[in-house]
Amino acid sequence: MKKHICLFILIISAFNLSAQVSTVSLNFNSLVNNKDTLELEKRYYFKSIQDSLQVDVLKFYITNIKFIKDETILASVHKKHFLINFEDVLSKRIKTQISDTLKFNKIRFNIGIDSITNVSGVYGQDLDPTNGMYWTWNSGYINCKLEGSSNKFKTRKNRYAFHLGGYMSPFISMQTITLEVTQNKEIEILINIDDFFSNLDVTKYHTILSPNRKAIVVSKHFSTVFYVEE
Amino acid sequence: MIKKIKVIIIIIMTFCCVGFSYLSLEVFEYPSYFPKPIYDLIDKPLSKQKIELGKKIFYDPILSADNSVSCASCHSSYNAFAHTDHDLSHGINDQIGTRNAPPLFNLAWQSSFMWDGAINHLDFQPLAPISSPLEMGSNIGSVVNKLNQHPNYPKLFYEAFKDTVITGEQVLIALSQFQITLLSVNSKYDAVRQGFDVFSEQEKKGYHLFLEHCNSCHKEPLFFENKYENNGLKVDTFLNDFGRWNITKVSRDSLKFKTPSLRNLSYTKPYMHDGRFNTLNKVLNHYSNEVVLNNNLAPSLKKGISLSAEDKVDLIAFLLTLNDQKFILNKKHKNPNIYP
Repeated sequence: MKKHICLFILIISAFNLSAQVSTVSLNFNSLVNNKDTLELEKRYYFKSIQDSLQVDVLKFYITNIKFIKDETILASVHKKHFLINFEDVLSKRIKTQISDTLKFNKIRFNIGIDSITNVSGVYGQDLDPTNGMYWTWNSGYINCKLEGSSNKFKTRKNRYAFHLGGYMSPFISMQTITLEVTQNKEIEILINIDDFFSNLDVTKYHTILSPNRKAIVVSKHFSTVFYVEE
Repeated sequence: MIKKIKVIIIIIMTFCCVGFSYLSLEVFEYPSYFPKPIYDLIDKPLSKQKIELGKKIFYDPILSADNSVSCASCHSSYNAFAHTDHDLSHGINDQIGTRNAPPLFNLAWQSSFMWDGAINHLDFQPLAPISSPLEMGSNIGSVVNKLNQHPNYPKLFYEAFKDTVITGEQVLIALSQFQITLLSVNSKYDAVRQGFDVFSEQEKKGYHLFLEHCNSCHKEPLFFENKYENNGLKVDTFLNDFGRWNITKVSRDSLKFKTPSLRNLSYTKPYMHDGRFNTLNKVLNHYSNEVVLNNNLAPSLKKGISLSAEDKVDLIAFLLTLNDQKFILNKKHKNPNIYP
């Protein structure tokens, strides 16, 4: 019996010696005109759209984060769902531990909540319906909320509001993206708001509040403006 | 040493199992001819504290913006948790909703909620009335804030969930747990199935008519199916409610509504999604004479249902055997402020 315990302790400590882990941090941010860090409720002049614009709400789910080497998945983050809320600085940084032996050159994640989670009842923390990311009149998570105003939008008070979601065919709004990375420590993931608005037909897409065809178009578009800053 | 540990583990596990099945037997005992419940009770096992807490919230108007309307306002235990004599649901400031408040029982077997199936899980169902401006006019965030500031709730939530604060998840789980215990399994029909009672001649005739004309949509022993059907009702041009189409926007779903249970009909009138019929006679007259033919009509209604006056009386006699008086009198389900 004693022998066994000794052996067990030996193995454990051997593991501790060989397996060095370090922290990977995914930092989500957005730059205006490629230089200023986006602040909510602040009016900026955007060169790309040649008009002023402000963002009041920017919240989205990042889920199922995976670390990849070429095409092989090396590891995935144990916690599945993260709500990134630009109002809450802490939420913009996802930290996780990874073994130093796992050198990855890509990260992959979903923007939004998968169908299974959507139909499995209530969860807490980042998925708690008090976060305002759940539709009450028609079940389903809101994958992304982006709201604000700009004179570009010919709507009431020049407001735009994108509540993007939907988990049932044919309106599945969750997107999966893969980004290449050159280092494994502090990964700056930027959302190119300039690109989002300059490549969007604002006469057609300005108010989306339910799962529909337009929500899918804008969800796909939103997923293309994520990039990693070298 | 190892043997001792094994024995202790076995003893502990046995106690756990006994504990679980004891609670299940007490509050969630259903007949052997029922299918397996859909709600995942393994993942979210029932607990006495959570059920009691859920009941307290169910009866508490704290859920509404002006503290005037509770779940029980439209889901009364005396009416099998429906709202007798009210065709449409009520809300704060005497507002009238757009649909008939359905009865609440045997919910662990239901996979979607609302007449159009807008809600995909029992846990999320309360969010709809809490947020609807025509019903409670509040939101789950403000409900959680109110509960966290309440003199009694934080203690009760701690006892049930062992967490430092009250969260939206906990409120919804507690409400689900109470509602799951609303089992209606003690009708005369159930007694007959279990061999404790027999149908009268008239009820027997009615049962055969039921099997022939109704069972395809209102399938026994639950007497509902998790499906949507178009039963040929004329569109109410004021409400313009197209049912399942509102959710899917697919034309074949136009005017389809969830098939409701036929249990407890005596307590749950008026009938249909807009409460348009106040007697079972009117319902049967609709099915035998007034069905509006259309492309989406339920297949079983396409060839028409012919019922003689005598058939209708027999069929109603059978339907009344689905009343569960024990359920509506069960004090365990009633307002804990009146029946502690």
